[in-house]
Amino acid sequence: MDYFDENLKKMAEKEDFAAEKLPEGYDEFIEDCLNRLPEKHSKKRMSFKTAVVLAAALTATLSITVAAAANYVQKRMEAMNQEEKLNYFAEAASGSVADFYSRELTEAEKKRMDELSASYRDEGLFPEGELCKITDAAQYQGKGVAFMPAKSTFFLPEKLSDEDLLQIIDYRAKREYSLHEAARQIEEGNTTDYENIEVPQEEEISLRGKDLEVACEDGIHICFAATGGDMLYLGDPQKLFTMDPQNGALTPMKVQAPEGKKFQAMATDAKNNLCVIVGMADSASSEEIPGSAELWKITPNGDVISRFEVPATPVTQFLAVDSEGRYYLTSIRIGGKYQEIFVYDADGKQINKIKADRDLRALCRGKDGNVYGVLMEGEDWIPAVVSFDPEKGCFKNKYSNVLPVGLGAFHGISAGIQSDLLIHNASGVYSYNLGDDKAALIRAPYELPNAGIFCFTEDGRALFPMDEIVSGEAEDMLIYTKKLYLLEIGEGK
Amino acid sequence: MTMQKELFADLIREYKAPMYRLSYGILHNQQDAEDAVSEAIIKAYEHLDSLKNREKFKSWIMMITANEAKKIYKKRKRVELIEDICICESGHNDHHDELWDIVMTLDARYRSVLILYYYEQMKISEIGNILHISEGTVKSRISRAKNKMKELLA
Repeated sequence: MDYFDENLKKMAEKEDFAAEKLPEGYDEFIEDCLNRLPEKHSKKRMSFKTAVVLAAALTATLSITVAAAANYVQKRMEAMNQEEKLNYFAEAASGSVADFYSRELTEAEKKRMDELSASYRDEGLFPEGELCKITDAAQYQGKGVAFMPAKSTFFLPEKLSDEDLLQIIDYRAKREYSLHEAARQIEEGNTTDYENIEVPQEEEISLRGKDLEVACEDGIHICFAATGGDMLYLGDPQKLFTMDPQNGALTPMKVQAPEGKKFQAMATDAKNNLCVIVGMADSASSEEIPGSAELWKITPNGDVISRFEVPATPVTQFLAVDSEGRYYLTSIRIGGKYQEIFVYDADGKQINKIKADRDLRALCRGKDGNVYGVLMEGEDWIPAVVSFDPEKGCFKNKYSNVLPVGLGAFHGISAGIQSDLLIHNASGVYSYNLGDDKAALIRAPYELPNAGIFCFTEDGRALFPMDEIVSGEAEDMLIYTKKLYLLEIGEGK
Repeated sequence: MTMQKELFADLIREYKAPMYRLSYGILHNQQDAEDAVSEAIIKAYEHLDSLKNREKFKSWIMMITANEAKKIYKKRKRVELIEDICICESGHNDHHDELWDIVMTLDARYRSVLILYYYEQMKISEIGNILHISEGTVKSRISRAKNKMKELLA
C-alpha cells in the first residue's frame, strides 16, 4: 500500500457511512423488507417482470394509500374478484414506465382531482361507471375518459367532468390495491396466478409514408447516433457506422476505437463531419493508457482530419459543434455541485468553461448555427432551453417555463425541421420556436414506440431502436438491437 | 419470527449500510439502490441454505447485492425515464464528502471496486469474488481509478 492509498483509506474512514448519511426512511425500509419475508423461506421465484412490478408496488406512495383509506374504500377494493385483480396487475406490468395523459391537465383540473381524491378516500365518493379501456388510440371517440393499458395513457375529453376524474382516481386505487394484493398472495405462496400473466403489449408498428424498418439480423449494439446531412452516424464504444436513411444500409466506417480506448460521445459539425470523444476503455490498464481523452474529427469517408486532447475527467456526456466550429462538451456533474460545459475553438484551444446549476441534459446545433441545450435547473429540476455565450463563458439566453414540468429530464434536443428545435423525452416530442411562450407537443407517448429516440434525420424522421436482446453475462452484458425504425414524427419536409 | 429469520434479519441490519453504499455506488440513484438491496434481501433469504459459513456472510450478501444492482443497472439502460431520474439525483441525503463525491464521478465498474476496497477495506481476492472479476482486474481498476483520483484531488 502506498502513501496515496493510505490517505484514501483514512479519508474513507472519516467519511464512514454514519446513519445520517443513509437515505431518510432507510431503516424503516429495511425493516419492511424483513417483515415481508416468509417465516419459512420459499424457493419459488416470480419472473423478473413480476418482481419489478412488485418492487414498485411495495415502495409506491400513491395519492390514495389503500391501507389508510376509510372503510368504504376498503370494502370497494375487497369486492374485486381475483380475475379483476389479475387484470389490474397485468396492466401495471405493461411496457410503459409511468402514466401519461393524452393532453396536459389544466391547473383547475389538477385542483379538482385533488379535491375528488380526498372525497373518494374520506367520504366514499365513487364513480358511477367504469373506466373504458381501449387498445388503440383510434378507438377513442373524444367522449368521457378512456385508458390504453399498453401505453399507460388516459385519453381525456376536451372538458373533464367529476365522473371522468373519479374514474381515473378509482382505476389507480384499484390498481394499487391489486399490486399490494399480488405482493401478499405471492408472499403466501400463490405464485401460480402471477408467473405467466399476460401483459398488454403495444401494437406492432405499422409503417406509413417515409417510415422505414431496418432489420439487423445479428443485432447491433448502438450507444450514440448523430445526423450528418443525408446520412446518419451510429456508434458503439468500439465501432462506428454510417447509415443511409433512405434505404437503411449500414456500413462500418474504417476508423475504429484504438485498443484500450472507447468512443464516449458523438456529434456532427456544420460540414457533416463526425466529431467523437475518444476516452479510455474500461478494459485498459493504467500502465498502458495515460489518463487523457481526445476529440477526433472524422470525414464521412472515415478519415481522421483533426484531433486534440480534452479532459478525461470529468467524463464528457454530451457534445455539440456550432457553425463556427466551436466544440461544446458537457461533463458529468460531480456530486451535488454544478455541471461544467467546456468550450473549445476549432483548433482545439479551450476558450471557456461555463457552469450550469444542476444538469444540462442535451446539446445540439440549432438551425441558426448556435448550440442549444436543455437545462434541468435547480433543486426542483425545472426544464429550460438555453443557449451559450462562448466568449463570456455564460448562458446567452434562457427560455424558462416553455417545457412541461414533472415529466422527467428532457434528454434529447435537435434542430427542428419546420420549428427551431425538437425536444424529447418519454413524455413525447415537442417542437419549439425560440421566443415562444410554450413548446408544442407534436407526438404524445401513446403515438411513439416504447423506445427512446436516438436522433432525427434531416427530413424529420426519428431513429428508434426496437426488438432488443441482451447478450453476455454480468459485466460483459450488452444490449443488441435487432430492428431499427425511422418513423415520421410530424415535422417532415 | 422464527429463529432462522431473526438471525438473518440481525445480519441484514448489521450490513444494511455497506449494502446500500455498494448498490448506490453501482447505480448512482437512491430508489434503484434501495430496490437492489430489497431484491438482495429476498434472494439471500431464499438461498440461505447455500451459505455454509456464517463468517462469510458479509462477502456473500455483498456479492448478491452487487449482482442485483448490476441487473438493475443493465435493465435501467433500456428505460429512458428511469435513467433520467437516476442521473439527476444528487446523491444520498445531499451529504457530500470529498472522496465519496470523487468516487461517484467515476465509471460504475470503478466505483464498486473502490467502495469495497477503501470503504469496506476488503481484500483484493474478496472483491474479485464479489464482483466476479479476476484479482488482476481488481488491481488494474484500483490502479486506474487511483490515477484518476490523483488528478481530481490535485
